[in-house]
Amino acid sequence: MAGAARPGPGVEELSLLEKLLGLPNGNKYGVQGERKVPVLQTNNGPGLTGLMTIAAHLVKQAKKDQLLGSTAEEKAVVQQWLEYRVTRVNGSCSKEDTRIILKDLNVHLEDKVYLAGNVFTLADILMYYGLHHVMVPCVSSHAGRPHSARKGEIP
Amino acid sequence: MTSSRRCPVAAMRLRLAPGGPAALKVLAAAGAAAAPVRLEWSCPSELSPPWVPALELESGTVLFSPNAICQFFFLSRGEEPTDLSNQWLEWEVTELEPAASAALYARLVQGRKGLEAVEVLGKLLAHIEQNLARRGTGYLAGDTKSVADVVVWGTLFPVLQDETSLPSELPALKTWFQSMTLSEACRKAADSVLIPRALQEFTSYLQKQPPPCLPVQRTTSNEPEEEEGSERALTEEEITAAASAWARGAAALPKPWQPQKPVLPVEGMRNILITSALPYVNNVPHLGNIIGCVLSADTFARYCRLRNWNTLYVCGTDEYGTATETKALEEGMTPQEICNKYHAIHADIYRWFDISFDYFGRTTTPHQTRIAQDIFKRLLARGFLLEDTVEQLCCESCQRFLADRFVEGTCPFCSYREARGDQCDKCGKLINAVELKSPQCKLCRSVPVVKATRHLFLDLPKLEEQLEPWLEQSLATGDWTPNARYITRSWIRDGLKPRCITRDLKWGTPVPLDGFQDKVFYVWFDAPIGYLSITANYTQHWERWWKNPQQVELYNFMAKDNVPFHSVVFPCSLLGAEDNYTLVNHLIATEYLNYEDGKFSKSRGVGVFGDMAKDTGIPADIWRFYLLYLRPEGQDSAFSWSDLMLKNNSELLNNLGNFINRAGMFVCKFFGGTVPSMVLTLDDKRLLARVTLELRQYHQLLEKVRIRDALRCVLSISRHGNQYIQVNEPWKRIKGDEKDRQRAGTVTGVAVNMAALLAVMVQPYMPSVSSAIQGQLHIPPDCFVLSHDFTCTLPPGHHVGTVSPLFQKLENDQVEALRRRFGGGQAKQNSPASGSPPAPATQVTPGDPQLIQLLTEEVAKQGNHVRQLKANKAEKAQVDAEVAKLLELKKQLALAEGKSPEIPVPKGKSKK
Repeated sequence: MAGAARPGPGVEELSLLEKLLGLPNGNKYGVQGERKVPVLQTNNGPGLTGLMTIAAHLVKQAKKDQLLGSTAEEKAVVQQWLEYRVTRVNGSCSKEDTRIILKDLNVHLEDKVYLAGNVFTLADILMYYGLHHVMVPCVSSHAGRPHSARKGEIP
Repeated sequence: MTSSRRCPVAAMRLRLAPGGPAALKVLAAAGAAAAPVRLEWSCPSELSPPWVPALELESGTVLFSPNAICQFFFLSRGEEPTDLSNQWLEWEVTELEPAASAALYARLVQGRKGLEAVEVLGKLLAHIEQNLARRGTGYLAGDTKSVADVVVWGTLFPVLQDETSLPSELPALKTWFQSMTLSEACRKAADSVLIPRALQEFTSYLQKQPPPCLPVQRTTSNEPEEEEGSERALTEEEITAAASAWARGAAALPKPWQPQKPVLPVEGMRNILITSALPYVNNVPHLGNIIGCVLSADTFARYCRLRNWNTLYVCGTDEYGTATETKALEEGMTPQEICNKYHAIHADIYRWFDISFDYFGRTTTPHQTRIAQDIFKRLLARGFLLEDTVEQLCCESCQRFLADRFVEGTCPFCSYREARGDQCDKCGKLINAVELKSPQCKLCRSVPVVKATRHLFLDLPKLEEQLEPWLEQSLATGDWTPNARYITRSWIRDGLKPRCITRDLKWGTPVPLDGFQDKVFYVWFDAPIGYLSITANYTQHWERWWKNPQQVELYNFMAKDNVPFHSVVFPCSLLGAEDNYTLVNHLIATEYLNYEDGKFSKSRGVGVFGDMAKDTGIPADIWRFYLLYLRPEGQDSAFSWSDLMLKNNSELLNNLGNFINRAGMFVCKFFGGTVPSMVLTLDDKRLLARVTLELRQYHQLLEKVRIRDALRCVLSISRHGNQYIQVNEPWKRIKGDEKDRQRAGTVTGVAVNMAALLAVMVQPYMPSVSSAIQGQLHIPPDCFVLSHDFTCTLPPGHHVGTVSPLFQKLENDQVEALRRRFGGGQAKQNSPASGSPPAPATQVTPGDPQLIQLLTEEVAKQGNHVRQLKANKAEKAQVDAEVAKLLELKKQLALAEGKSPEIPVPKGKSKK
C-alpha cells in the first residue's frame, strides 16, 4: 500500500509545514495510489493518510491548535477550505480551473483578512502552498485579483 | 469542552438542492447531532453564490462544503474531530464521493444495472470492510457514531439503498450499513430526500451535472467514443430480426387509425385525453409559454395519433378573473370584448405554430357555468366546503378588493421585495396576500386596507384521505415528471389547508348560493373545470372522456408553476364531487425557458412573443424544432439566437435535410426517379438494426414524454444515414461496373427508405417538413404510422416526385438583426457609453427599424433564391447576377443597422 518511492508534492509540503511549525525532523512519509496521497508512517497501526489529515495531526503535535480554529465555526471553516484545497486546488490543471478557483477565493476574501476571517489558520498555509506556483506572477504584478494577492503577506 | 464554545441554539438556515445527493448526509448529520436548522429547498440556479448545500451561520458565515457542514453540527455539540475521523472525511471527499457519484450517474442517467454500478465501488467498499473488521467497534472512528459514519453512509446510501445490494463477503460493512440506515436520523433524512421510493429526484439532479470522470476506472477501448449508449454492439439476433422486419415491407405496418369526428373513447383501444394548461386570455403568449404547454402537448398528441392511439387534444383560453377586468378597463372595452379579441389572437398564434388541437375553446361559455356550478353543488352537499370570514386587501382608490396577483409587497418568509400576493417568486412559498409586508396595489401603487368579507373554502384537509390513495396510485403507475412529483410531495408534506374558492369580482362564474350572489369562483377552482367545459363544447358526449377513468388515460401538460393545482387542488375538487371523474394519470411539467440571458418580458419588450414569430421570416417548423430541441425538460434552458442559427444550420440543414435531400436526389438523378432494386449485405443489415435501435429508443422516450431526448434519436438516424452514404459513395459506384452499380442501387434504396421513416418520425416535431418529404418522395398515406420496426415502405419500382431542399440556411446578419429587434443578449453593446442617460431607442439603433425589418426579409428571400438557383444548377451568369443583388442588399442592411458593412465605408456614415 504505502510505497516509499519518490516523495509526491504533498510530502514536500508536509516537510515545509513541519519546519514552519518548528517540529523536529523525524516523521517518515510515503505515498499511496496514483494520486500520490501522502501517508504518515507511525510506529503503531497503518499510519495516517491524506494531506488534510496529516497536516491537522502535525498542528496538534506542535501544540498550535489555534491554527485549526478556536470556535466550532472557525474549525468548520478551516475544514471547509482544507477540503477545497485537496479537492479543487489539487485536482486543477487547466487554466480555466485555476481561473475559477482564483475567482472563488477572491470573492470569499473580499471582506476577510484570512480564509477563516480574522485569524490565520492552517487553511491559509495549505492554500498558500497549493497556489504558490500560480500566484507568484500575480503577486508581483498585483494585477487581477486583489484579495487573493493579499495572501502574499503570509510570513 | 466548555459550553462557551458551543454554538448558540438559534435555528440556522440550511439550503439544500432538491435531489442533490449531498442533501442526505447533511440532513442525517443535523439529525444525529440534534442541530437546530431551518430547512429550505431551493434549486442551485436560484442561489448566489451557487454553492449547494449552504448552511448560514448566525455570524453570517456560509458553509458550502457538505462535510464541513456535517463537521460543524458535531462540533457544535462538543464532538471534536480526531485524526481518524478527519482521515475518513478526507477519504470520503477525495475517493468515495467521486466514485459514488459516478456509480449513481451510471445507474440513473445511463441506465446501467444496479450491480454493475456498485462494482465501481468495489475497492472502496473493501476498504471500509477491512477497517470495520479491524476495529471491531461497529463504527468507523471511535466507539460511537461519529461524523465519519454519517458522511460515509450519506454517500453510500443513494447507490446501495439497502444492504441487500452488498455482496456477502462484506459482512461488517453490511451490518454497519444496516444499523446506520435504521438509525432515526438517517432514516428521517432518507425519507425527506425521498428515497428509496424513487430515485428520480437524484436522476433529475444528476442529469443537470456533467458526467463525472474517473480517469482511473475508465476502461480502455479502441473504438471511438460515440454518443452515449447508441453505439453498443449489435447482436446477431438483432441484425437478423431487423432484416426480416425490413423484408416484410409496408404490409407489416398497422393501418393508420382514422377516428370519427368528434373523437370519442373506443372500447378496447388506448384512449388518450391530452390537455395543455389554459393560457390566460389577456396576454400574448411568449415562446416559453408555447413550449411549456401547447407545443409539448401537441408533439405528444401527434405522436399518439401516429401510434394509432385514440387521442383527443383540447385546450382553450382561460378568460375569467381580475386580470381580464383590468385589461378591459385599460383598453376601454367590456371584459367579453377583451376575451373575444385575445381569444382570436391566441387561436391565430397556435394555428401558425401548427398546433393540432382537436378543439381550442374558451372558458366563458354556458357549459362552464353549468359544470362548475354542478361540481360546486356536489362539494357543498358532501360537506367539503367551509365558510369563513376573511380579511382581504381592498384598494380604496381603485374601489375594489384586490386579487392576489394585484398586490405586491415584501415576502414574509424570505423578505423578497417583489413577492406577489399569492406566491413568492423567490422562495416559491404560497402567501396569503394580507401577510405581505408593506403591500401595494399593483395598479395605482396606493396602500390597500384590510377589510372583512365572507368566502367559501375547499376543505382540502378533509379531502386528503381521498387524495392520498389516489395520488399514490397515480404516482406509482403514471409518468409524472420528477419536478411534478417533487412539487406535489412537498405540498402534501407542508400540510394541506382549506383553500378559498370564491372572489369578490364580477367577471367570473357566479357562485350559486344564497348570500354569495355577488361573488364568483376563484379562477383556480374554475379554470381547470375549463378542460371539461371545453370538451363539452366540442361534443355533447364529453362525459365519455371526463367521467370514464376506466377507459381514459389523462395527460396534463403545463409549466411547473401550475403543478399543485393539477396534482392536488383540482383532483380534490373532482374527488369530492364523487361523480366518477377522470383524474390525471400523467402529469408532465416543464421547467422554465429563458430568453438569451434573462427572462422574457413583455413590458421591457424583451423576447419573442407568439405573434411576432411569424414576422421573423423563419418558418414555424424551425421554431417548433428549436423550441423542442431545447425543451426545458428537467432543467431550465435558454433561447438563444445564435444557437437557433447553429442548430438550424448544423442539425437541420447539414444533417437531417442534407441526408433526406441526397437520398431523394440519388433516386432522381441515378435511377430516373424509381427506387432501384436492393441486395442487402451484412453492413446494410447492420445499419437496419442500428436504425431499429434508434427507433425503439425514440418510442421508449416518447412514451415517457421525453420529447427533447427523443428528437436526438431522429437526428441520430440521419447522422447514420449520412455516414452510410459517405462510406458507400453511390455517386462514384454508379459510374462503375455492374456490381458497383448494383451497390449504388442498394445504398440509394436503403437511404431513401430511411428518409421515408424519418418523414414519419419528424411528424410530431415538424409537421410541414414531414408532409413536404411525404410529397417529394410520394410516401403512401398508409405508411404514415409508427411501428417498432423499420420496414421497406418504398419498394423497388416506387416512383418518387420532385426533390428539393427542405431547409434554408440562416445567415449571421439575419440572426443578428433579429436579435437586435427582439432585445436581450447583445443589448449592452448597443447601449450608449456608460454614464450618459439612456437615450431613446431610435438613437441607439441607427436607421429605421421598419427598414431594417424589410431589408432583413429581403436578404433572407434573396439568399433562398440564390440557394435555389444553385441547387437547380442554374447558369453561372444568372447565379452571379443574383449573388450580386444579395450582396447589395446585405450592404444596405448593414448600413441601416449602423454597422460597417464588409466593404469599408467612410466613418461618418455610421451614426454611432
